[in-house]
Amino acid sequence: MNLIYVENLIKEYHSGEESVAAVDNISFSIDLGEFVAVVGPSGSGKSTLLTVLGGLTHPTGGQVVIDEIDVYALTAEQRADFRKEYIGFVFQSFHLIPYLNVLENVMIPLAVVDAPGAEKTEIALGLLEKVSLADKARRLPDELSGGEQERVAIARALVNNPPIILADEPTGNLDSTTSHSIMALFRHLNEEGQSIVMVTHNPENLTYAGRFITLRDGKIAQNSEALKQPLIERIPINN
Amino acid sequence: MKLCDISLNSLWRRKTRMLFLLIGLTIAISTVVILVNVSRAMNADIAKKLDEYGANILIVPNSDELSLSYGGMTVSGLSVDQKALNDQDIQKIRTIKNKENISIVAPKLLSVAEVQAKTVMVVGVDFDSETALKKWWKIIGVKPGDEWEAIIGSEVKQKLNLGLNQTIQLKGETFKIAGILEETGSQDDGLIFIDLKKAQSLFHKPASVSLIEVAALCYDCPIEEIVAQTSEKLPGAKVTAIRQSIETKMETMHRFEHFSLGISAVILVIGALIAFTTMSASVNERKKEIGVFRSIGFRQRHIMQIIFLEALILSGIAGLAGYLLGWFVAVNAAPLVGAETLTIPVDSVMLLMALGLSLLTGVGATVHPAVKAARLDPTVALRAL
Ligand SMILES: Nc1ncnc2c1ncn2[C@@H]1O[C@H](COP(=O)(O)OP(=O)(O)OP(=O)(O)O)[C@@H](O)[C@H]1O
Ligand SMILES: [Mg+2]
Repeated sequence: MNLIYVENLIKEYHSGEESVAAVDNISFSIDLGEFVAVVGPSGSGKSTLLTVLGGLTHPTGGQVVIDEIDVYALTAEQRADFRKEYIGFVFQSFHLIPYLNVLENVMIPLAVVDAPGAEKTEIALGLLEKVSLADKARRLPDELSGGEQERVAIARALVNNPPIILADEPTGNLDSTTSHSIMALFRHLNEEGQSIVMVTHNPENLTYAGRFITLRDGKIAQNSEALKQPLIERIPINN
Repeated sequence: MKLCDISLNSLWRRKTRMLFLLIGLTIAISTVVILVNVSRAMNADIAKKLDEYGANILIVPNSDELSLSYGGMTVSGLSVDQKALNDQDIQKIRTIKNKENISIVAPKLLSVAEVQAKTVMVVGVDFDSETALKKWWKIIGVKPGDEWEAIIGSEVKQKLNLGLNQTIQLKGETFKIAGILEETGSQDDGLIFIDLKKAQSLFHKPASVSLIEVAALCYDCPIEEIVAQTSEKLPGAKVTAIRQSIETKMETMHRFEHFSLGISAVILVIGALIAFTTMSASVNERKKEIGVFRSIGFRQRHIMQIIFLEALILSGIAGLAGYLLGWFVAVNAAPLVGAETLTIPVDSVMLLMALGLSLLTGVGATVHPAVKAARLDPTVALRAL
């Protein structure tokens, strides 16, 4: 069964007289448990596609169906609830809230969830454990390295236990060593059954994914077959 | 972790930025509290002194004849007047709607008599209410205790060459001078005062009264209102308000109140503008953050809750601080503006008012920024910076 199903998706941007089709009539689907990398040159529409998939940007045309929910048939507020339930975003520039400490940042999605505080803290601490940051739970974001901040962002994306993680160049701001540890983390999450769609510039990252979609000028230039085995396991990369 | 934790942390870790709003609103609220407190103190001061200013309502019979006026006292047809006021009218005054504002009712019967071959005006009064009404009277001797005793004005004393405890003849009856008024500078100096009941029988005007002076102790209800109510009860009488110094003082007071109200409004508008600009700037600064919240699944309502909660906390603190500051300043400043005797109590009504105004101003000014924040397009917000 398809987890994500996209049909004839169009997203145009208008600036003055001109209109740019950032996403130009594309269709594809992603299954539960896949780790898909979206690649392509700058300006090819990768980020736009990701925000449309995540229910953040209303498309100009076409359909996004996730878990049999027609995302853009929902009202804006229903879509917010949908995001809470289904999507965990990870951004290139981390987007941590500067005035909340690490633990609080991870717990943000739980702020609109009805549950005892202790339970929320337990979940968040568990995730910080998972991303190896439990010892830095009380620090503020700007007291962390870039890689650590990204791990906090990943923990935050996971805290609601969403079926889909959408990551936009999660390693874009990191050095290559740190990038690999972050990618390894994503890989690990995927092996645990987490579906991931990741936009990336870095060809090395492709090796962690199970499949890649290449965009060019808003169109799909290549939609690889799902690999039985991720590249990384066949071509080991030394780091 | 709840939404309020986000608000509290945001305020706490960005306090310098919010200090501006806090100070602005605190000053605005304290100014209003000062003005209200001082106004109140001045009002209380006036109310306290009100009965020292004598009568402010005069009731005379309606008459077709021309009025005889003397030193501000209007005396209608001294001779025979069928429509003269009577004892029952005195009771009726106490039955008007605003009766609790009636402080003193002083009826008078004016007559003319010959004393030592000179014509003198004799006034029958109820000595208790008369002395209550005319607090400025200084009586040498005593207030008459029985109907055979009289008080004379200083001029009468001089012209007739009378002294304390001497007697005078009025209409063939003998009265003892129990008291002499020190000079008042008013018509009272030329009058002889005797008991009202005695005067009524002496001058063969049983139960009748020439005029009634009333002191209405009401510093904020319009005197015209009481006049109208009295007129209604006494259709045969002419009821007029006497302009007196107290009215000028009250007018000044009311002008000060209006002025205070105007200043308060301006100050609150400025406070609201400060709150508005601060909160708007804060929202602009936090676009990215709001985008994150939205992408995480916060509803528009949640974004508004976070921002309103911040405004609520700041306004609450400002209201409390403004009240305390305003109270402190008012206590120290009120004597400077003419409120002589004053106690400014720490009262809960004023505190609630300060809090209410602060919340209204702070939270009201946040409506627009909060709505704007909630409506931000999350992708645009994420792109910011
Ligand atoms: N808000 C916007 N308004 C107008 N045009 C936009 C907007 N966002 C993106 N675009 C345009 O849409 C196209 C695709 O942009 P997008 O950000 O999706 O590309 P991308 O593949 O993510 O690029 P990069 O690799 O540099 O991040 C670009 O031509 C871009 O200029
Ligand atoms: Mg991009």
